[in-house]
Amino acid sequence: MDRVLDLVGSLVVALFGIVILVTAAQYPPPAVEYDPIGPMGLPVALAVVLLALAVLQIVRTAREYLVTAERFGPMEGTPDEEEYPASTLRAMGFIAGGVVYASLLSTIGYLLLTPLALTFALGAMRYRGWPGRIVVAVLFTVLSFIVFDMVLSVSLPTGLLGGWLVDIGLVDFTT
Amino acid sequence: MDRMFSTISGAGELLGGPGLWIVILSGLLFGVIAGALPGIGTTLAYALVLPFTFEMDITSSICLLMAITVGMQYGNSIPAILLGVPGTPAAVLTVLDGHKLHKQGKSGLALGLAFVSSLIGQYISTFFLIAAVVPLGFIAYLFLAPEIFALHVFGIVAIVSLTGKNVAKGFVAALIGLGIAFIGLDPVNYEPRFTYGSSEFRNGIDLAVPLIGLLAVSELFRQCRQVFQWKSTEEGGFFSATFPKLHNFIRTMPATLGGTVIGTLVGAIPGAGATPAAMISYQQAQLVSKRPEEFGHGSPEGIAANEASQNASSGGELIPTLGFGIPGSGSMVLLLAALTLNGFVPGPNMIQENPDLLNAVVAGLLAGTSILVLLGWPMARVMLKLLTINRSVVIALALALVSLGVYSLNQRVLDVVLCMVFGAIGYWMLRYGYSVAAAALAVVLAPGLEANLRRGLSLFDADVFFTRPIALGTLVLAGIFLFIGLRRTHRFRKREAVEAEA
Repeated sequence: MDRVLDLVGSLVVALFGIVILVTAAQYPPPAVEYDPIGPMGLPVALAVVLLALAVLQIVRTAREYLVTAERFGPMEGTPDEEEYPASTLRAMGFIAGGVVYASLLSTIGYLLLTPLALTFALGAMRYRGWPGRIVVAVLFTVLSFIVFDMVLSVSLPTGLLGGWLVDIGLVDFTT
Repeated sequence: MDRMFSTISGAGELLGGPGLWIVILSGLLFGVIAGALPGIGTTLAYALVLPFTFEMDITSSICLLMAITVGMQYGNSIPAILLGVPGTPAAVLTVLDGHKLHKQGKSGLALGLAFVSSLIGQYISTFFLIAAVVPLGFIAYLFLAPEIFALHVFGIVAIVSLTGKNVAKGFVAALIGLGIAFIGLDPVNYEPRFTYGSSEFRNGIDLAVPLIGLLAVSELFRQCRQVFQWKSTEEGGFFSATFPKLHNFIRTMPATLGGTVIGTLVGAIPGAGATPAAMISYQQAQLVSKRPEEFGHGSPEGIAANEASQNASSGGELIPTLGFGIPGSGSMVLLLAALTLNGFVPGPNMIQENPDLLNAVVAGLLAGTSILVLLGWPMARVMLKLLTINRSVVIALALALVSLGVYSLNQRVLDVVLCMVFGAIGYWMLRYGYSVAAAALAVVLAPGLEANLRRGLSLFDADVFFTRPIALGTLVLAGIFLFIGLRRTHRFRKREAVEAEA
């Protein structure tokens, strides 16, 4: 486990606690007598505990780092499979890709964006060659569109193809 | 007794039509497939189907989820025996003995024992579930706001203390989960909080979104770190297996029954679950066995105890989930979320006020197990072929399917964005030892926890949590679990320090 990144994580947690406290301070005190702690009582209490635990973690991790002088410590999280190399970059790529995919879904549309995203995802996971990846990606997109949009009546984002899909009668309206 | 029989007859009535059987069959098949695929745990399997259950009536949803559980607990033993790869962590001990027997040419014995022990464990634990949950309904009236608050606190403390290696990080995760749940309307006064003026967050975040992000998407992101394929069998996908003779089952019956009892009891402890249940049962079976030296080298009793226990634990997990509204595992968190989203209020009164819920659970478990009696043995061969599926394809398509499922909840792209963000947070939690199960549980329990705390303080004196015996007892129990968790953390740190010095 990377102690530096663990420290950064604890700092972010502490920041989260501070944000809750600052936000809570901007709310007026409880206006009704029957509610002694009000809407901010529990958030404030938990933010204080969160801050305390985050500081505890920061002190603990920093101490371990200084004492051992080693950046990497014993794994506290879920370990990777031992026999195979692991890539943090690939995981980060999937996270970034997932957020970007979701953000562009409305604009570009499900039918255009999903096969593109899946093709790159399969490429990142080293599945076969590009033709195989494209076939799987397109097949999944088409099948899922049929099942979700046409059978389950879940209106998937039409995006750039909205007008054309309405014209050919595949969807009733653009989303 | 009357209530028990009425629950079973209620379950039987639900199964009168073919529709529910089709749902249960579908869930069972999906569960066996998901259980056979390493890396697809019960929580991920639930998360994949959860969005689709909202299109169904609540009875069908529950039966589907129960059938998936039954299927998974059996399915995980097939690759464990035939390939030496556990379908889920709970089957890791089945690998030790089952795979050894397979290599000795006794695949049929191993598979047969796993099959029959699974069935026995599942059937008996279902009756234990009814026997435990039904009487709880008679004392539900004792649980007022302070008691329910104490129960919620206990649930969170238990899952933090028994999972993970660092209790402090576990609590941080739980508090993050509570923080997520604070967004939206205050559960007592219905004033908007932490929305920062955004109308999108005025009603809060849909419960399923952070749950699926934290429990499922995070795991998929974590699995993307590595590229490898599940092992293919040396025999090219074929094996010869005949169903074992009766004397094999008679010989292992004590281990099977012992595993069932231990599995149900351990499964009922929040935060415990199938894996510790299987391990404790395995240890106990070895202690009382006449042939303890066989354990780890192809012991039929080892397989029987392990499989009975992990299957029984699914019935055990349902006891605190349905009886108290305290889910004991990630999959139970999702089950409770499904119930919450359908308008049920988690707590001791849930079954009392909605007896059909328990009927549906029992129907799903019993019918799923009964279908498994017919299909389980032939499915073993088919499941082996399934392991030739490309792991990279499964992970990529699972991510796509989860995104689709989350979108289908409210047909909002924002939900998919948030799900990915929570998936990223969950990924960090998984990598750095923060409990995603605790975070997810806190998200589910937060509204009830806060509402009952505030109602308790408004209806009673401030010391109500120390003057009402059930509330006090529950908080003391939470304290005991906290102590156990702190001791575990301390022992882990000590062990790591010793290993570092060595």
